[in-house]
Amino acid sequence: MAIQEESRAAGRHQSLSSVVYNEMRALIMQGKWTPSSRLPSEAELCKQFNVSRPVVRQALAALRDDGLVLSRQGSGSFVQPGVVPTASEPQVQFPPLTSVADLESFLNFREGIEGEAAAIAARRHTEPQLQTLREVAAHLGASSSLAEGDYEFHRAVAAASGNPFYLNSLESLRSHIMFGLGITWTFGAGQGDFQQTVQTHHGALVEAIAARDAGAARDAMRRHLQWERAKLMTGQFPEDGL
Amino acid sequence: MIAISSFDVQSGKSCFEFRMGIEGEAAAAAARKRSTADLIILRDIIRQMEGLQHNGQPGLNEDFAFHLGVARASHNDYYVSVLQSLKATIFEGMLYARTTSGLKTVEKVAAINEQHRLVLDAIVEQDADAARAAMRGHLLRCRISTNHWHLA
Repeated sequence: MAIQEESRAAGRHQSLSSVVYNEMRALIMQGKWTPSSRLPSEAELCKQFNVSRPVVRQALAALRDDGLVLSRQGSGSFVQPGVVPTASEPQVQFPPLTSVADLESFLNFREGIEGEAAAIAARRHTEPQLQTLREVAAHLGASSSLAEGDYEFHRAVAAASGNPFYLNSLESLRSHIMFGLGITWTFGAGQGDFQQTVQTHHGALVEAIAARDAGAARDAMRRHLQWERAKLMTGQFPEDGL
Repeated sequence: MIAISSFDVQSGKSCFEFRMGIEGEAAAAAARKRSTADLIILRDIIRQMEGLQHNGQPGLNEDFAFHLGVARASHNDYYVSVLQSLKATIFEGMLYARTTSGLKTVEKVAAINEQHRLVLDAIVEQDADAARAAMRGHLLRCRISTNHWHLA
């Protein structure tokens, strides 16, 4: 709701440039673009973020205003030499799981937070983020365990929201999420077409995000988590929730 | 547009957006789970803030206490821990959201109190959807009032 209203007010142009601004800012603050180094050319940035040149220029102007980037006529843009990269986005401290009651609270919380992350991802994802999401969904468990692949998918959805608070939360909750997924996949992998169903759910969620349908993305995430929760808590292979 | 040096504009906006999601769900859960004791606490905080309104004080501590009170009323510690972990960022966000517009402190605090009342009313009525909508609406207004931060 907020984003739609804001982008109507600001114009699509500005909302796109603020997405690119955010991503570039993150690359600088995380030290991936090091101080004094030269930024990719405007043409390369257009390609990398899949946006037009005015959008890139607007984002660069905002980074100059922040004192993060210097532009020299004829020789391109550079990260300011004095920038100190910080990986210190606020990390959320969550209570440990010590009982089934905690697990219930945690699963309720997960449904709320991940449903919202999926809705925002539907509105705001960039093409590279969508590409990553498709790849992670398609390769569930290909390079790690199925449970880890499942976690990676949920993390990629939070990343596609472009909001560092959602991503940090998912990262801070990694061990909690893996605890549930470990049980679910240990007992689920050999049961019926459990893996196939998970992949179908993930695929449907990606399509809702790709269609920029925030309501459908939120619903798909919530129903998928409710379905996995039924599997975790009852051990039964539930009817397909989607 | 105002000059902000110490506070990261984008983090502030992202934080309000995140809070809409998290606290909207916390308010909905509070509407389902709240005890009578929770309601007494929330009413007390609102009364304290309404008292401050007339003194022209900003009441940031009371504002935060209300949001934490709603999270506690959900009886889900995960919501409480998010607000506690982000306390410093939330304070900075509140401070800067209130530098907006030509409104006087008294008027701003009055508007916040009215929005908090709507959240509490829905929690009293055990209306989860209304509580979620009221909390999201309140935080959306805060977020919109940060628009003038944006790089022109």
